[in-house]
Amino acid sequence: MTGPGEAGARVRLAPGYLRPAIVLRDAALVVLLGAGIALASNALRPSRRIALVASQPYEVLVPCPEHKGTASPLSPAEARALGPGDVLVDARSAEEHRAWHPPGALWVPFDYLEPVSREGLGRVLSRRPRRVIVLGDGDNPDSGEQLARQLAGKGIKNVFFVAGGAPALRGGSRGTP
Amino acid sequence: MCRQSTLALLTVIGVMLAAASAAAAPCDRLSGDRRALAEKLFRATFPYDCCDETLDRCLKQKSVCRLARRLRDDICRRVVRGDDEKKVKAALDRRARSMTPTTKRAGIDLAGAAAAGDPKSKVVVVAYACARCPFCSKVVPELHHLVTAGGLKGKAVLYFKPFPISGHAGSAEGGMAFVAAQRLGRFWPYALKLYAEYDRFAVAKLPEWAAAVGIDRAAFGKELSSAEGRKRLVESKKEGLRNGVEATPTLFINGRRYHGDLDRETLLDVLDEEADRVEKRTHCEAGFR
Repeated sequence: MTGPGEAGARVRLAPGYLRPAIVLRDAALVVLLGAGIALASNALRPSRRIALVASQPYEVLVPCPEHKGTASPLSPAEARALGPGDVLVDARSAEEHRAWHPPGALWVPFDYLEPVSREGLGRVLSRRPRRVIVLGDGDNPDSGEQLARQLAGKGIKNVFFVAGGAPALRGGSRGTP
Repeated sequence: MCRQSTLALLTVIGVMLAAASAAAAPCDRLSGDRRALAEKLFRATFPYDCCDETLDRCLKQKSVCRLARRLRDDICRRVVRGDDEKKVKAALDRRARSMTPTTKRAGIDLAGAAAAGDPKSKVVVVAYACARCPFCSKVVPELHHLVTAGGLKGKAVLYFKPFPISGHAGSAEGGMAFVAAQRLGRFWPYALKLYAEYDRFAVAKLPEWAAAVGIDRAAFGKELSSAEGRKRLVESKKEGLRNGVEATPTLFINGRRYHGDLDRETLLDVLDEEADRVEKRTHCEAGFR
């Protein structure tokens, strides 16, 4: 049988370094000491000093591409000899189209700021083309080439553009006013 | 207490040493296989200007070619990042293609374009950018900061050319807003605001943001739908296409198309290199590391 005095003698006090108040004090001391050393060593690096406040560099992003495919040029002579299943698309403005266009040309105006409309795309596809030949203004950049590449980018196969555009095709053309 | 404190102190010192090494010269952070790879690349790389030897030999010369030092650091940065040999070589090729002085110059009309930084600077950077391109929303403000307050202040001037990407919803309206702000004399405050609000973009908010940077809302609204503004925007895009721009952001440095990386560190490095070139500072002083 043991008495109360013997039971109390078995109680062990936690060592000093495990008592919460002492642990907190030591932690604070270590942080302060570490921060002090860090600031001092940073101050001793005049040429490569680390900024105390700095923004993170942005993550690597990818440039935004224009969604265009590949279209090949067709000479004006080839464009004048279109076969069955070939669809000629006029990419020029309404005024230019009205002023002159080859017979049977489908008018789908090209806009440098907007993608080709669904309606325009639908009209081209409704003809079930074997080849699509786009006629542009012949400028640099050529609206025909731009539209042709945009159509190719939409998944249309066998898309061409008339090299030199309407001015080249019109020279000795079969067009109608 | 002593044992615990010593451990904590050692940890703090370790963290500090790690932070210090992260800020050290990139080549000093290499060891083992990574260092061997960097050294292999030094032996295989020829600077595209100012020294005709391989990079390792150029670096041993008494008067070190500045470009050699830049390329050395560029290689080390990439190797530290974990890039393999092929990737580093491809990046160096793109850098050389962009920075070779004999590269063909693009035709860029800067009349009426919005400039940031010192217009007398000899390094002219032109950015073709879209209002709705997330990459542009990071790169353009970053470049603006570099030329107006950062490491390129007084060295480079930045010009902005709108290039709306057709497939991006709101890009034409954003492009018109850029042109409107330019025509009303508040381009840069507006452009920075537009990019800062990138994630909250809505066409209806464009006039609100104009008013927030001190643009007259009514005048801005009128400009947004002006035929002249649209003509300017189309001209800007056509010019970009003539210069081979097919994605945004696309940069031109003193008229040469830039194909390299667009992160802050690389941009600062290549633009500083261009400043050195136009100022004819080709070599470091003796003993410069």
